[in-house]
Amino acid sequence: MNFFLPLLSKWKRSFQIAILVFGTLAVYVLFPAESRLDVTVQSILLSTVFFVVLPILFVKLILHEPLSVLGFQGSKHRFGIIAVLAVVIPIILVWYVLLRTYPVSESYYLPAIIHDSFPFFLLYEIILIGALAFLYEVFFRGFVLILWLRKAGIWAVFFQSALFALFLIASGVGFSWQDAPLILASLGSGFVAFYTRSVPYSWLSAWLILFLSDVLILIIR
Amino acid sequence: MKKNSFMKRAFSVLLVAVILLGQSIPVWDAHALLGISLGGISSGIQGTMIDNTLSALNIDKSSIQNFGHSFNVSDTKKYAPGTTLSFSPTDPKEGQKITAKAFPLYFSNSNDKLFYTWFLKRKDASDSAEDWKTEAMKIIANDGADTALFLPGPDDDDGYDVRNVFGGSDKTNIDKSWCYVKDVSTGVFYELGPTSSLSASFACGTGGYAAKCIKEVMSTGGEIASTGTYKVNGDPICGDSGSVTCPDLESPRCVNPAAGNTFQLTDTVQRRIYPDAIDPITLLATPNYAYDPVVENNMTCSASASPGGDSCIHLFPNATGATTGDGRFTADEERFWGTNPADADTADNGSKDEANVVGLGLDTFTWTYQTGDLLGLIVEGTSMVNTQHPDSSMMVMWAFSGDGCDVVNKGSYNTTIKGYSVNFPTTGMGRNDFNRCMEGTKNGIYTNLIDPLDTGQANSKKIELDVSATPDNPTNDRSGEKAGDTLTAVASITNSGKTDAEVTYEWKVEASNSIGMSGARNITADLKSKGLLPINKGIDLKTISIPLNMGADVLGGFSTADPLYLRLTSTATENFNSRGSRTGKSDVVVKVSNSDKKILAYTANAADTDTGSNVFLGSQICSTYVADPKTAQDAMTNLDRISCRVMKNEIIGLKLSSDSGLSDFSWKVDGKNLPCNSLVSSDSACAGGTEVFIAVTGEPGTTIKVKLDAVDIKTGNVVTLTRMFNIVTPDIVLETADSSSLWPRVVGQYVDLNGTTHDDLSENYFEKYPGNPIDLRARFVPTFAERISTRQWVVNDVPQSETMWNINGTDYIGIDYITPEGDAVGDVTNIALSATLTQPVEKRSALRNIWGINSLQTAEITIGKSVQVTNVRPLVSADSGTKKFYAALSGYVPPVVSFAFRMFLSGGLLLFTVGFLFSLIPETASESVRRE
Repeated sequence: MNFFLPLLSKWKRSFQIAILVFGTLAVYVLFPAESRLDVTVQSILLSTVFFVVLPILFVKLILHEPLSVLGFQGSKHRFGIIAVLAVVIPIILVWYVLLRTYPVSESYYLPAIIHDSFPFFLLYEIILIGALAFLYEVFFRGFVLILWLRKAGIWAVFFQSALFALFLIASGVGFSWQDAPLILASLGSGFVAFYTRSVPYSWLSAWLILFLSDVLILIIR
Repeated sequence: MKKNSFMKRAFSVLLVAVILLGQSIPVWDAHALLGISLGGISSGIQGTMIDNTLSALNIDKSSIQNFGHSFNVSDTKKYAPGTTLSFSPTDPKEGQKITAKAFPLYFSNSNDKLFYTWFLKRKDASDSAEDWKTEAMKIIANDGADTALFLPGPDDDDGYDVRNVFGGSDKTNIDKSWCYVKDVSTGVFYELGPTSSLSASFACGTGGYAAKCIKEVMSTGGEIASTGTYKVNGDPICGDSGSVTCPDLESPRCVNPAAGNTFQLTDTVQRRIYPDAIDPITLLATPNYAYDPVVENNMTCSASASPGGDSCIHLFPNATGATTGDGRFTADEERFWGTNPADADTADNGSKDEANVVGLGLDTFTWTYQTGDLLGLIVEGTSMVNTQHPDSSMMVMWAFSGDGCDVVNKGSYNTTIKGYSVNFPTTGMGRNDFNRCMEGTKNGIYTNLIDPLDTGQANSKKIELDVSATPDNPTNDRSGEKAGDTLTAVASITNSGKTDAEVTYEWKVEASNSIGMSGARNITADLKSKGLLPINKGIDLKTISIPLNMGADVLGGFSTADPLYLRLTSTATENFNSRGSRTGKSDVVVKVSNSDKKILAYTANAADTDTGSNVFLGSQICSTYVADPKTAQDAMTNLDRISCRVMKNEIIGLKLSSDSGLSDFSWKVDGKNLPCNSLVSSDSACAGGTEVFIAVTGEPGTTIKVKLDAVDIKTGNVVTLTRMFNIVTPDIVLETADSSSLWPRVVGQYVDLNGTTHDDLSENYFEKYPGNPIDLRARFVPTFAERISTRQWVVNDVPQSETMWNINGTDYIGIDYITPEGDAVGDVTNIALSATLTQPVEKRSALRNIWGINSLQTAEITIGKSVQVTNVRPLVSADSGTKKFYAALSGYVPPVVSFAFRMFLSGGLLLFTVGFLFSLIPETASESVRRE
C-alpha cells in the first residue's frame, strides 16, 4: 500500500483517464441493443454520448479543465493544412494500392442510393460520414491521444490507432474491409492531432480520407 | 333306395294308425282296412301276424308303443297362452317414467285384439287385486290428463260393449265361447262351468246297481241276443232327451259293480246276466247280478242343464256400481276412471275410454315408477287349442304375467257329441278366484306380480367383458432409460346396460415368467407407486396404459425374466340402485420382451463400389431423451425411442446394442427375413448378424416392425427384440427460441388423465409484443432430415439469413429477426421456411443397386412451413409476474426514450465511479500546482 498509493497519486490523472477510456469502450461494445430501434440510430446515439458527451463532462466536471485539453482548439492554419495534406495523400495512395491489390470493393458496403444520386452521395458523405468522423475524432484523437497519451510521444499515435482497430473489430463481427478506411483514417488523423493538438484538423483529415476512400471505391466499381 | 325307405315309412305309419285305431274300432274293420279277411282268427294269431309284419319291416314294436303312449297323452302337452314382460329402463329411478311391454304367446288373435288387464301394486297399496287393476287401468285411461280441466258435456259415446265377446275383440260372431284354464301340473284344460250335478242320474232300481255299458267279447253284433261273455266297458251317456246311450256295439245295462266286470248271459228270455264262472246252484240261489232295464224298466236318465258359454267371464276392473265392457260408459264411470266426459278418447291412443279400461290392445303400460312398485298382467284371448265342442270354437284363455293360477273347484260333465260321450273337466273358478290367484304369494313373494327391478341388468347374467392389449409383442426397458413400449389394455363390455360413466373398472397387473402365470406377482401397487400406472380403479377406466419401464423395484424376482408375461385383469362393475351390482371379469396375458439389449437405429451412409454400392452405419437416431418434456415436440422426440419416425426412401441401419451372450441372430422386417451380406455392407457386424439395413419403402402413415430373434447362449431361450419405425411425411416445426419475447398462441386447453389442465398451443400462430424480435428455431421431422436439407428463410417475402441457436446445449437452426421501427400492435409478420431435401447421390445409388428403388423415386423433395406472428398489446396485471410486468411497461415506452435512459444511466454511472474512486486518492503537489 505504501508503494501503490504514491504511484497512484503520481499517475492519478492518467489512471483516471485510462479507466474511463477502457470503461467507456467496454460499455459501448457490450451495451445491449434495443431491438425496436434502428441500428444506425443506436450507433449514433451511443457514440454521441460515450464518445463526445462523456469526455466533455469528464473534463469539465472531474478534471475541471477547459475543453482545449480535448483538442477543441485551432492551430496555425498553414501548419494545419499542410499536416492534413501530408497525411491524406499518402493514406489515399495506400488505400488505392489496397484496392488494386485485394478484392476490397466487392465486400465494401455503400448504400445503393449514393451510386445513383449525387445529392444523396453528398449528403451521405458530408453529414453521415462527417458526423461519424467527428465522434471518433473527439474520443480517440482528442480524449485518448491528446489528453491521455500525448506525453508518451509518437507511439501514442500508433497505440490509439491500434485501440481504435480493436474497438472496430470488437464492436463488429471481426475485421472486414469496411473497417480499413477507418483504421487508415485513425492513423492519419492521429498524426495530425499529435502535431497540431487540434481536433478540427484531425477531423478534417479523417473526413477527407473517408470521403476519398468512398470516391475511389465508386470510381473503381 | 330312397323309394324303398319311403315305402317302408309310409307302411309303418299306416300300420301304426291301424293299431291305434284298434282300440275303438271292430277288428274286422281293421281287417277290411288291411284288405285282408281274417274271419274268426284269434287275437293271438293276429298279434303273431302283426309281430311278423313289423319284423319283416324292421320296425321295432316298442318304438311304435312309445309313439302310442305319447299320442295318448298328447292332449296334456298342448301349449296354453302365456306372456312375458320387459321393462324399459331396466333400472328405473323413483319418479322416472317406466314402460312395461307385454309379449303374449300362443294366442290365435293378433296382439292388438287381446284384452290386457294390468295390475299395479304400489308399495303401500291394499292387498286387493281389484284395487291394483283399478290403479293401473286408471293410469291408462286417464293418461296424465288433468281432470280439473274436464268439462261436463253430452254423451261422448265412449262405451265399448264386450258382454258377449270373449277371447279378444275379433270374436264378435261366436255363438258360444268356452273359457278354459289349464292345470299346469297335470296339463288338463278345465272348462269354466258348473262343477256339480253334471253327472247323469240313471234309473237302475234298487239293489246297488249302476248303469254301465257292456260289450260282448268277440261278438259280431251289437245286440245282446244270445248267450255269450260280456264285459263292462264304460259309463253310459245321458242324452239331452233323457235317453241312455252307449257307444256303438255296446249296450247300457244295470250291473252290480261288486260282482266283477265280466258276465255271462244265460237267460235269453229275461236277458238276465250273471257273473262269469258262477256255478248253476249258486246261480239259482242268488238274485240277478244284472238285468236288462231296457227290457224290464225301459231305463231312463236325467241330467242337469248342459254347461256352456254362459260360464265364460271377463276379469276387467269395474267402477263402483258399474260393469266394464257393457257398452255404457257413464258419467260416474268417467269420473271413477278419470277420463274426459267430453272426449271419447282421453288417452289419445285411438281407442274409446271404456275400451282402454277393458285394455283392448294395450300391450304397453307406462307409469311413473315408485320404489316398491309391482306389476302384473292378465291377457284375455283365444288360444290355439281347439275345444271338443261340435262347433268352431277354440279355448278362450288367460295368460298370466307370473306363475299362473292353480285350478280349483274342479268337476266334470259328460255330453254326447256326434254320438260319442265326451267328458269335459270343469272348474268353478270365478272372478274372485282369479283375484286371489293374483294376490297369491309364495315365500312372501307375489307369484304373479313382477318387480321391474328384478328383470333389470342387475339380476341378469354377469357382465361379458373382453380385454385386449396392444402392441402384440411389447418390449420392457429395465435399464431405467424409459425407452420401453407403452402397453395399452382396453376392456370392453358386450352386454352393458349402463353408460360408460356408470361402470367402474378395476385393473390388476401380474407378472410371471411363464404363460401359465405360475407364481405370478401382483405388481399393481408397485406400478402405481412408481408412477407407471396412475390409477387402477375408477369409473369409465376402461383403458390403461403402462409404460413398460419396469425394473427390479416393480418386477421383483421376474426383473430378468425374458420373456416376461404380464396378465392384465379387469373387473367391471355396474352399480344399480338398491339392487346391488353386476360384475364381470376378464384378462389378457401379454408376452413382453424383457431383454436389456436394444436395437439401435442409425442413419446410413453409402459408397459406390466396383460391384454396386455398400452402405455403412452413420450417426445414431431416435435416441434422444428429453427428461422433462414441456412441448409436444419434446414428447414426440421421446416417442421416437419407441417408434422411430423415418421418411420414405431413406436407408436405416439397425444394430444390436450388445451381442454378448446371444447367438443365431434372425432379423425380420414385417415378418420377412432381413439378411445382411457383403453385397449390402462390408461391415463385419453385418456378416455377424448383429447389423442390418432396411430401405424405407412404405407410404407415410404405415409402420415398419423390425424383429430380432436370437438364442440366449446360457439358457437356450429365444430372446426377441423389436423396434418400430413410423413412416412420416417430412415436415418442419417452427418453435420459439425465446419464449419471453415470442410465444405460441393459446388456442384452448385440455385436461390430462391426472386432471391437470394444460394450454393447447398453436403451431402456426405466434404472438409477441411490438418491438420484440422474432426468434424461431426449426425442428425437422424426422430430425435427421435437416442434414440433407438446403433452407431458405423468408420474412414478409424478404429472404433472411439463418441463425444458429444453442438451447440447452443443443444446436438448432433458426432465425433472429429484428422487427423494423414502428412495429405496432396488430402488425402481422409472416415467416416461412422452405427446405429442399436431397439424398446424396451415393445413397440414391445404393437404394437403386441394393433395394431396386428407381432413382426417380429418390429425387429431392421440397417441404415448407410458415407461421404468422401477431403483435399483441402488452397485458399488465398483478398476477402476470414481475418480468411480464416490466415487459409490459417497457412496451409502452418509446424505444428511443428507453434506449437513451439506459445509455445516460450507464454513462453517468461510469463517470461517477471514476470521479468518486479517484477523489479518494490524494493528488501530488505538482499535480495540484499544475491544475491551479
